[in-house]
Amino acid sequence: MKLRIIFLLTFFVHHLLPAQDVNWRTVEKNQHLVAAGFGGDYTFYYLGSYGYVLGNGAVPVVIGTDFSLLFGEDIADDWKWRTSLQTELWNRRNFSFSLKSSFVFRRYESSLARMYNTGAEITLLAGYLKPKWGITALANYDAALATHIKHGELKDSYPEIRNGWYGATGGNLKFGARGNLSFKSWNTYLTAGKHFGQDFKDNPTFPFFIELNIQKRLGK
Amino acid sequence: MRKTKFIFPFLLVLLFSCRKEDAARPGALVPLTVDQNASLPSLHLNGTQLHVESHGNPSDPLLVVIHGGPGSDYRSMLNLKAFAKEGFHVIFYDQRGSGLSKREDAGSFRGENAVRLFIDDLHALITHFRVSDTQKVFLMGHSWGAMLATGYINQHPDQVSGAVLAEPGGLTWTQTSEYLSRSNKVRFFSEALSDMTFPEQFFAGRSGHEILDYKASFASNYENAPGNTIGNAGHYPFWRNGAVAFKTLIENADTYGFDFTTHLQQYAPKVLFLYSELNTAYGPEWAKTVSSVYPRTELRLIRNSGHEIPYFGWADYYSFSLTYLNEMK
Repeated sequence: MKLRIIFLLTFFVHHLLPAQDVNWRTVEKNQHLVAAGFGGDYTFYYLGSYGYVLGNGAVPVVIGTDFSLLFGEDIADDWKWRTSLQTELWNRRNFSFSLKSSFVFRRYESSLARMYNTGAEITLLAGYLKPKWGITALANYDAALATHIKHGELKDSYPEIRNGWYGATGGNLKFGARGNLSFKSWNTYLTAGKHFGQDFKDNPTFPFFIELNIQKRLGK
Repeated sequence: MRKTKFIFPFLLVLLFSCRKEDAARPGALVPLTVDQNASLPSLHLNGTQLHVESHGNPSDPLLVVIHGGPGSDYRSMLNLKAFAKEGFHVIFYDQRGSGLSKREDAGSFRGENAVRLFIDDLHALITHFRVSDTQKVFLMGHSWGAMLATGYINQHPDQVSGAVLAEPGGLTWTQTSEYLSRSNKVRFFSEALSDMTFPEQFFAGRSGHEILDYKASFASNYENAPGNTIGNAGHYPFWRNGAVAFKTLIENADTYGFDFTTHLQQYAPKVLFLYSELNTAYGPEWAKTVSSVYPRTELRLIRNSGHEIPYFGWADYYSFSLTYLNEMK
C-alpha cells in the first residue's frame, strides 16, 4: 500500500499536474495552467491538472495532463490519468470552437479484479467566451481501447476465466455545458451534463456528470 | 516532456502488439449457459431452456428452491441439497434468463405479463417433477425468490403444501420499492460505490449479454462491501448475474407493478418466514408487515446473518426449515 502511494505520488509529480479547462480569451503563450477540482463521473473523484500554452502566434495550443483519484478508503487503487492536446479551431466575436483529444490510462482494483485500461477521448467545444466569463457546450466520446484484467474473487466463482488483455468494447458519450468565470489570474469552471453508452442502451449507472475546477494561470 | 514522448509510443506499441481477447466471446468473462454447454443439466420448459438439477428420491415430497435476484442463480443455495437426505426431492433451477439458464432478450421481459412468465415457468417445473397428484410440494424462496414463491402460491394456492420464505423485499411493488430504497441506499464518496461503478467506463457502450453480465458482477462489490446495509459478511458464490433479466424486470415492475397478495387470505397452510439479524434495512417490524398477509405464519430470526440467509445463516436456516418441513410433510 505504502509503495503504491509513493509510486503514485512520484508518477503524479513527474508528469506534473494537468490542465484541462481553457478560456481561450484569457490564456497567453508560454503560460502555465495549474488547477485542482472535484467532481462526479461514474463515481466521485478529486483531481489536479497542469497545462502549458504553446502556439505559433495565430493558433494557441494547450498541452496538458490531469490525474484523478476516487473518494473511498483506499485512495490509490483506482485512478485515471489523461494527457491531452487542445486547440481553438475558430473564433469570431467571442464565439469559439475548439477541439481536445486525449489519451487515457485508468486503473481499477477491487476484490473481484484488478484492471488497467487504455482509452482515447475526443471533445468538441462550442462556446461564447469573454475575458471575464464564458459558456460552452461540449460533446465528448471516450472510447475504451483495451483492458488488462487480473481476476480476483471472480476466479473463485469461475475458474476458467483468464487473466490478460481484453479488446475494445466500445465507449461512452457525454453531452454537457460548461460555465466559467475569470478574475485576475484565476479561472473557475463548472461543467455538468449527461452521459450515455455509445449505443444509448448500455448507459452508466449514474447518468450525470459534474466537475468544479479552480485554475491558476502562471507566467507572462 | 521527453518522457511523455517516450511513453506514448511505448503504450501504443504495447496496446496494438499484444493479443487481445474479445470480452464478448461466450465463456470469456462469464460462464457458458446451458444452450452453450451441453454438459450442464437442463430442461426445455415453457419456451426456454433452464439450468436444472435435482437430488433425492423422485417420489418424496418436492422441495423447489427459488433463488433471489432477479437475474441471480442458485449457486449460493446448494447447501440445501442436505434436505434430500431428509426425505425430500430437492429441485434447483436458475430462473428464465438468469444464472446458467439460457439468456433471453430484453423483449421477453417486457409487457404486462413478464412476472407471470416466471410463475408459469415455476408451474411447468413443478408439473415436470411431480409424479402424482398427492405428492406434496414445498417452496423455499430467498429474497426475490420468496416473492416469486408467494406469487406462485397466490396463483396456485392448492398446489403448495408449505413454504419457507427468507426476506422477500415485499409482496407488492409498493412494498418492494420501499424496501429497496432502504437496502440500496447510495453511500456517496464510498469505496464501495467506486468499486461498483468505476469499471463501467472500461467496458462501455456495448449491450451484448456477456459484457453486461460481467459488469453486473461488480454490483456485488457494493452490495457486499464492509458495512453494507443488508449485513452480508462478504461475497458469496454465484455463476452469472443475468443483467438483462434483472434490469428489465425491475423496469417492468416499475411500469406495471405487481401484487402477489390478492388471494393469500385463502391459503391455509402455515408459512415459515425468516429474517436476518444483520440486515438493517429489514428487521422485525418489516418482517411482520410483509408476512402479515399470510393467514398463518411462523416468524423466525436468523442470528449472525445478513440478507443472504441460506448461505451466511445456514446452520439456523437448516435447523428451522427442517423442523418446519417435517411438521408440514
